[in-house]
Amino acid sequence: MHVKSFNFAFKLLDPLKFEAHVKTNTYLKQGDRLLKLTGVERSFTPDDALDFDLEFGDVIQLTFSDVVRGSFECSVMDFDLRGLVVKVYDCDILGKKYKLFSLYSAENDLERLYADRLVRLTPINERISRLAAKLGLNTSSLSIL
Amino acid sequence: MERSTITEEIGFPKYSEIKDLTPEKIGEISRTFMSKLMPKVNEDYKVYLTIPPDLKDGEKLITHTLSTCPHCYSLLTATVFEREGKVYIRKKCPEHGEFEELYFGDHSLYEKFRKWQHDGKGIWTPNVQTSSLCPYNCGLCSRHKSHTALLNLAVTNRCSLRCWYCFFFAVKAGYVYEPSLNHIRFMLREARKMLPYPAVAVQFTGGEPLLRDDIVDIVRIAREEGYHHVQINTEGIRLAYEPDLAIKLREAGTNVIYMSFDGVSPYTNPKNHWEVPYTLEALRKAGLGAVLVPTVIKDYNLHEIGAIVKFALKHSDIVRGVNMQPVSIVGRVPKKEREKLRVTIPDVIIEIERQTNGSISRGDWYPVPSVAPVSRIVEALTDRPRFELTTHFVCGAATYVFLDGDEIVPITRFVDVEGLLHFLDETAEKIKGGSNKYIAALSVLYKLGRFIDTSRAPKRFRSKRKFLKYIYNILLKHDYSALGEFHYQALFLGLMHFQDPYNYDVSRVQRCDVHYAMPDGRIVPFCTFNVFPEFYRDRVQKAFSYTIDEWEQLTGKRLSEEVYRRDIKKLLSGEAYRKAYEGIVDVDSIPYEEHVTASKRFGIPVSE
Repeated sequence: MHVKSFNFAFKLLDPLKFEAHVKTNTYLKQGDRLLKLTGVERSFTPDDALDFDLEFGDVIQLTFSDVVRGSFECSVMDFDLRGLVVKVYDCDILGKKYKLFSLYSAENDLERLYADRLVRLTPINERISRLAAKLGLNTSSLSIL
Repeated sequence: MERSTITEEIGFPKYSEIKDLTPEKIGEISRTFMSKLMPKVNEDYKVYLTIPPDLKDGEKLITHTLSTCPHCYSLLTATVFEREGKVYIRKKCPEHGEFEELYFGDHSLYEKFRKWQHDGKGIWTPNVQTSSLCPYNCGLCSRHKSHTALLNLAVTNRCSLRCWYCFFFAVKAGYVYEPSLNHIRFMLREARKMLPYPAVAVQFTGGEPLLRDDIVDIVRIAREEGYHHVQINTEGIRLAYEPDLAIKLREAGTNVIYMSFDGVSPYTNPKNHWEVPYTLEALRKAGLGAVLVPTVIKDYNLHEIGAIVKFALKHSDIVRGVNMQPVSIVGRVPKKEREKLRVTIPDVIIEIERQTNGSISRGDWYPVPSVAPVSRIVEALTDRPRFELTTHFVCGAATYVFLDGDEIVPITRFVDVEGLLHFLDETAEKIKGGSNKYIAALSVLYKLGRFIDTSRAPKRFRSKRKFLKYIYNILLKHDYSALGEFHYQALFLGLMHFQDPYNYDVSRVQRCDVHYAMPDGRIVPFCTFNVFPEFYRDRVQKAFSYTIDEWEQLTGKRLSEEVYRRDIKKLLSGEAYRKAYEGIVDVDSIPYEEHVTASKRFGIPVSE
């Protein structure tokens, strides 16, 4: 199953100043632990726009139509895998740092099972517990995130 | 595509077979067709996300954005730029060439307005999967940034007028779209399920919604489903002849009649110039407020915009506001023709300033999202998401004005609007940062007075205490009745510029908060529903419609006989007519023949 992850820096001046730096770490569930993945890195193309929207449209409310308005440097990591995939987004948004999570099932289709949202963020421990429960793992197994 | 072709293609049942099912069952059946009715890439539209067009001499880049080709609706990258004090958008379709259009008529107002942009919290309960690029995935999807502030629900496509420019009423469309009461209930419920903030305001629209004999029941259903605000978008003609209907609508829970009103003379308003005085009389008797809604067209009625505001002020006992809508250019229109039609929000603001001799100046206007701090402070104090207006700053602007004797007093003359909004925003930020909210609320109460200079206010607001009480109840209690009471004292002036394929900006539509409920359960932004009718409005309405024969058999009515004939002589002779326009336009100077010509030319026959 083809899975993409994005690392990007985005700067906007109009209508308001906005800056976001996002680095995505991607993990695959293997048994009772998470394995950090290294994908093949390449440049973002317009063909990635829909996947970008799917990933960030709700998580940090940033869409392709937003990023075309400013300076956008983005690299894409491609993975070919099957199983439960955890993505950790290390975000620096207007100078504030956030760690957000999402969980995908990559089997016949790519299905998102869980995702944080910046606008309704609960404490990180709560989110890690929720993620662990969805993965069927102890929270201690998620300490690497 | 004929209705039968669509329904056969997707296997949809005849509408008459599902209309009487329960709302739940109608929803279940309708939802299964949602994905089949969605626009399809490479079939309906193409995607050309190439390098945006270059700037030319004398142009300054503002930003890039996504737009569409006015001819084939392909998704394109576009350049937004400033030239000679105005803002333009330019895009290039590989198949149909370059298009340039006025985007915002005054760069200094663009600069003022953009600072007020405030994004919403998104849609937490999207009812479509994100499967294609914006704006061809509407429903609402997970990318959308604003909750529904006003839900439009078309209750019919029938209309008794035959306006020359309209092509989607039942007779021309060739089908009748008229959702059953249970179907309407289903659509209303879908919008009430949305999070973070469910729809609370609905506008019934058409066609002409007052042609439905069960319109009072429809209003009642909206109230039953939890809508606090119900308005009806109408030309108002039926109310002129059936004043009791206004009473019934009011009693059923209608808050406002949103009435088309394009000018003060028969030349600029041939749609309902003669009937409006009687409609206003009916509304007065019913105690039902009206908002006048002019579509503003450069070479047609822009010169009358000041007179429209004066007309509204003259009738401010019953007219609650004027919501001006710069024209949205539909269909393929050559550039030279478009230049005769095109106006944008600043163009109207500047004309109002000129035509009211500066009484309402450009500085009195603020963009719609400027009021977001009001929601933010209430949210911070109550710890739950609140109704917020977070449209794109180019989409709308507003102000409040008061009549003090003969003088027009905009709210900005005695309220430091900007200072107040910044203060509320800072206080909300402090609460979010951990400050004690009770102390913050007290500080708002204590400092509110600093932003109001009652010595410059209309006489009835000279009591600071009274005015502060309004503001306090609206801001801190979010009290709808306080807002209503404030509206009764003031005249709301609004501008709402719906998009068209020439000036289309995907950034705007992603922030849209005026939505349509579609019969398949989708909720769609106004500017996808109406700008791409082939993909949204017409496609879905056709699928859920009756053939004209079916409808006529079902109702025993004849669609072709549903034509309004105007008795101009009778309308001119009533006292209400003369009184309504007195001091605004000299109606006696217009010969009878010209009244008749104006009506006929527009497409409305006259009984002579």
